[in-house]
Amino acid sequence: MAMEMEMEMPHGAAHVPDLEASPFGVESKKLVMWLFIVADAVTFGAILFGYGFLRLGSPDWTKPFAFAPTIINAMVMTAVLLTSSLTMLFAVEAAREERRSASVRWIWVTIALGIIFATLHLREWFGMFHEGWSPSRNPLGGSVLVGGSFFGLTGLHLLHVFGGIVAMIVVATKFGRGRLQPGHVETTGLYWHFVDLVWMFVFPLVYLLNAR
Amino acid sequence: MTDHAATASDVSAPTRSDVHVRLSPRGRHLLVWMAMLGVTALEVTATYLRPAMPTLLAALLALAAVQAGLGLVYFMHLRHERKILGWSMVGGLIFVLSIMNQIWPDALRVFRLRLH
Repeated sequence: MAMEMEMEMPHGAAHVPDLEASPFGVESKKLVMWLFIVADAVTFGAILFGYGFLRLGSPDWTKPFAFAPTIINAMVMTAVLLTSSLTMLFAVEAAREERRSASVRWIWVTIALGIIFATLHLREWFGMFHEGWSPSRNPLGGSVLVGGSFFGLTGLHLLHVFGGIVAMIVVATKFGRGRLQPGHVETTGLYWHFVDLVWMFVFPLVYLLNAR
Repeated sequence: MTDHAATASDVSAPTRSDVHVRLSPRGRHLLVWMAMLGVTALEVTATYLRPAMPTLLAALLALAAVQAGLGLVYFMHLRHERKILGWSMVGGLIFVLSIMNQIWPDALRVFRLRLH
């Protein structure tokens, strides 16, 4: 059968590889990003579950966060991160419409918001260090797991924020020079939205559940 | 009703299609962004109403799930992708997290374990 088809093929016709279309209907880089996101979500899920059981299972758990300044600071951080997701959406929209300079501008706005988020976070961390908190020390005298879980969870998230900022700097630079395609901006946007979504669980479970 | 009144109402009254104004993608994204900020405000309000811990935990998880859903559907454009992508990725994730929820309570035994 294959031979018959080959014989029917006119001489000089270009050979088109018979690739099967993706059942998901997305580019491979986007699919890989989705797979990474699911794997990373499971990592965060496991850590949040672990934190939840420690939180509910420790009778000497202390609530370290006062409304001012910690919860207010965390609310501002949440607003900044949500806004950065919105600006990333604008960047993706502009990239799809082939408005490269507008897209790059929005990516830089997103980077700036990411840096503000990280700065606010680090300022809070250093404030806690100054009060005597560390991953293995609780100045309030309760369970040391409070500091361990707080710095572990928020540290892992902050690492993702730093990773996203670096990725966006690379994408903004290369996309502006025409070396990357709109799909690259979209894939980076997916990652950034994921970082935002993880924070939507970290903020209530780590901050609000430990509010005094 | 006179013909004149009927004509006037035809001119001034919005038709069904006028009411259902289609939002631009940017308008829709702004709306979702505001909704997510609103859910954050609800979370903080719920916390300072000081309910019992299990109630607060359930409320915060539910509100966080709403935010995550909005983010997945609108920000990550899952509504524009094929359904099989969403079912495979999100469905798989929910399944794994459910299994974790079944297994993790076993970790609480560690508080009762003693070396003899």
